[in-house]
Amino acid sequence: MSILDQVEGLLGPEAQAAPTVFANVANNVSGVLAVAATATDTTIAITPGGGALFPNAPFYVSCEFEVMWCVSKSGDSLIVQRGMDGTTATTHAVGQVVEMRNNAGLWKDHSTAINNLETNVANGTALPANVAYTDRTQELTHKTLDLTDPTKANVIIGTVSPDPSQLAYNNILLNGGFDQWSGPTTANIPAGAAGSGSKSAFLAPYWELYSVNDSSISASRDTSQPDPTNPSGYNLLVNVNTVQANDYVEIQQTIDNHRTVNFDGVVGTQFSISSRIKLLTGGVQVAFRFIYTDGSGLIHSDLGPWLTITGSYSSLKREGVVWFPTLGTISARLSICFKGVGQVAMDNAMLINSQLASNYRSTFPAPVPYTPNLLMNGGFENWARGAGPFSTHNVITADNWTMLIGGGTSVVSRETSIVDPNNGQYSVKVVTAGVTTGSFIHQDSATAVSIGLAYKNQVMTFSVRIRTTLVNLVRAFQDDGAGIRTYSQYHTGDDTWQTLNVTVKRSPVSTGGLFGVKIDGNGTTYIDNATLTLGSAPAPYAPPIGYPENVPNNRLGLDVQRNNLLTNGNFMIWQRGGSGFTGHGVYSADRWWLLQFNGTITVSRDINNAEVVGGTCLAAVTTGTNQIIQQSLLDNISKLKGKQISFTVRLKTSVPNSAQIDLTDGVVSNPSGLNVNPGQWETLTCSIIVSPSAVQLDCRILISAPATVYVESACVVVGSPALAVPMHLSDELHRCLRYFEVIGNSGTIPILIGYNGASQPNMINIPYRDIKPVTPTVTKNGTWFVSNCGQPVVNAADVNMVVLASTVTALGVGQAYPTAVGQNITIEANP
Amino acid sequence: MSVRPVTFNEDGSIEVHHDEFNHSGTIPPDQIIWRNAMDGNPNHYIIVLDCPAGCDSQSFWPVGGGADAINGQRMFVEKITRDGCACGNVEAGNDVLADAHAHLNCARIDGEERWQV
Repeated sequence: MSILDQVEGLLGPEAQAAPTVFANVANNVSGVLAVAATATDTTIAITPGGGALFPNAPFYVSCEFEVMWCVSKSGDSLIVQRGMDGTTATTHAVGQVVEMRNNAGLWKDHSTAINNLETNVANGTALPANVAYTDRTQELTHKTLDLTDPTKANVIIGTVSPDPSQLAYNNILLNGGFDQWSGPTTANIPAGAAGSGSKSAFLAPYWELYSVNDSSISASRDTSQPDPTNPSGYNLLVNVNTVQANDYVEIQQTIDNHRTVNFDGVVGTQFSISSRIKLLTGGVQVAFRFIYTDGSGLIHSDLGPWLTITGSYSSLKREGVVWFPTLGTISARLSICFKGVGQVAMDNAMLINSQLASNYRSTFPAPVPYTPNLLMNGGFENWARGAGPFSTHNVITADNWTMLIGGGTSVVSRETSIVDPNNGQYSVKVVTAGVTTGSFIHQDSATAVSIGLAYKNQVMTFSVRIRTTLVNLVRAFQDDGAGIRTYSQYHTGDDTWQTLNVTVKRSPVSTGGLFGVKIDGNGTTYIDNATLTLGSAPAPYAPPIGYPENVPNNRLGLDVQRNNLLTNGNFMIWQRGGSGFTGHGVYSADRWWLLQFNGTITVSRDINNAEVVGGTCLAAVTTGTNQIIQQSLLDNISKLKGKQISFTVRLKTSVPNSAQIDLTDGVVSNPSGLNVNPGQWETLTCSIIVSPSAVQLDCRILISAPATVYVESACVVVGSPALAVPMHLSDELHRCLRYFEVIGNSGTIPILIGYNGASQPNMINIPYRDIKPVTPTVTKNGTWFVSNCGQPVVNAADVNMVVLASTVTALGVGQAYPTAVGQNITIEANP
Repeated sequence: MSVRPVTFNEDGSIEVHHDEFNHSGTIPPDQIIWRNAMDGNPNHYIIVLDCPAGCDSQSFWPVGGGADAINGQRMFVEKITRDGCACGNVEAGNDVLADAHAHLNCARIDGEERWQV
């Protein structure tokens, strides 16, 4: 085989548009024509034995001046193509010499083939289609590039169009470029003790720092180390110091199941993370950790290999992670982990749902749906019951927040100095002592129940800011509404504000469930800025910007009339007189009843000490330790069962901590806090949910020390607490007359008069001014003037009227009537 | 403001307080009487208490309790237990029957929910 044949053979048939066929050659080949040949004959007959001298076809053969191309040989017959190589086919006589000569075609075939090969190599058509030229664009169609074998170190050199890095992937991470900042621009978790456990700190929107044990991490916003691939905005400076070999620090983001990815929709698919990182000082490694919590609450962690960080920005990545292997994931986090000692600059983190990582590209995430804070008074800014201190079990302290004491003592008060710097002017201060089973601050039961019923089967996250020195004793919790309580991690007790979050999937049969903070130790804890939101990502607290559809009482203007369930809540009606009411079981102001225990209580109407000039209040002077002024709401109880009602009064006394109010239905009671501002009018409130089994319903003013107490503007409403608004006097009187009225008392009426026989009764029907709730007790008071008859007696009475009767002494006119104050008929019906 | 029972003594007397005139006293059991109906017969729905202080005041107490459900109703139970009912259907000496009878009468005039004893 010639060299040229060998080359063409290497190229393969695809490289040759028309493969060159070269002539076979041999030396000293000559034969004799055995049969004359015409100009068109294609078979040349050689004398016997002559054919064997010729080589195998193809070859050139000449006769006289004609060159022929032999395409095949059979014995002594040559099959030829006539008139080749520029010659003309002619006749040849028998005996002419037929031989192989050094004709021009032998040389031209080779040079032509070489020239064609040179040309095809130059124009890139010489090589097979599966061979790429390195200096020109190779068009690939329906080709497969297998880069999966890591031993081949496959590299794509140059740019690829379109550039994959420019493909519009949605970054699952929010604020991946660290360009959004709210409030502080630095965060720090100092080293703790060797076994102090994990700690966290808020860094930037959607990002938190995590550290453990005696490691430390700090991070700050920076512009001095921009990532050259995307230099806009800010970058992050991170200081890392890990001590124990297995410890690392982290920058984490919680992935929101509602806003950035749907966990169940990506089961089994691959995720890739990339971040631009540069080493500034020391030696630090990075790894990426994929974390998720499955439907049973078990936390799964997938830590990738540790990668070396170099002194120039590079894309460090982890690719092809199956993050969610099964359905039912309820929360997930992406963690960028560091170990070592040093400082790095970091920027542009990109997390995508793809087998391969992508370079960072600023993308606008999908519009964040509005996720309102479902808590009432999550910022602890509203304290309608006063600033405390509150030390009683199961009382509402800050509005909508209840304190439960689990052994020992727990005192809650409003704090103005140690407040979460993120928002607001107040926090909650809780001082615990002698705790045995834990003290709780939780959203009030009424709100918790309504949330639990409205959000069955939903994933919800409770987040709260806590500061305390109690180590691993304070944590947040959330119930699922079916008896399962989940806790957050503990506060580390480093006396800094930390955010504690707990995500729970509410039970499909949720009937309520609580959420709040549990304190298992003795000391001081500050609580602020709590949120409860749908989804698995905690939401930072923001003050409410609007009013809910249902406006609670405490958001109504003071000029909005409220339906006061009390009668005579403004103490304007005193049908029994204005003073001298003392003793146990005595009615004073209409509908207000005295209960006297240890000592005495004396009540009177007071117009000199009312808060509003010209108004009326009740003044109570007490001795001893336990006196009560109360009103029964039994008349309304059937309509109030299962509802929240609130009781509010305005109260003033010079003795602090001597008075409080209370609602009780015989099953539950809920006293307010004690008065704390001596000599000042202050508002006391309390609320209960009336029990379905309640058989009584009393609102009470409790006085526990010798004092003079002024009370006015008492109000009981359905719902949250409200201040009383004075009613029209006619309306107040009308309510009071339902329960108590006096007939007479001003002289000469009613007159019972009639002409009758001896021993016969004169009678008179007297209708009441208001129908009574039950058959009343009717009393004829005093000695009336009588003429020819006996003293009148009550002959009959029902809810509408009373019948008086007087027995005539002798035939004639008999008459009886009152003549002085105190001579009257009183009608009294107390449900 | 009524002549109202405050304490029930073992001998059947009742300590009462008259709110209107703010005085008290004891009514012996034989003066805790049924009110007569129009036909002159005792009315087991009504007990009359005359103020023992001599002020000529008199309170008409319904079996439902009137101004004081608990003490008023108890007064009827005590009366029926001690003396039997005015209607003659319940004899003296049976407090269970007395309670049930008073309860029934209370329900008749003020409804079942009124009974609180």
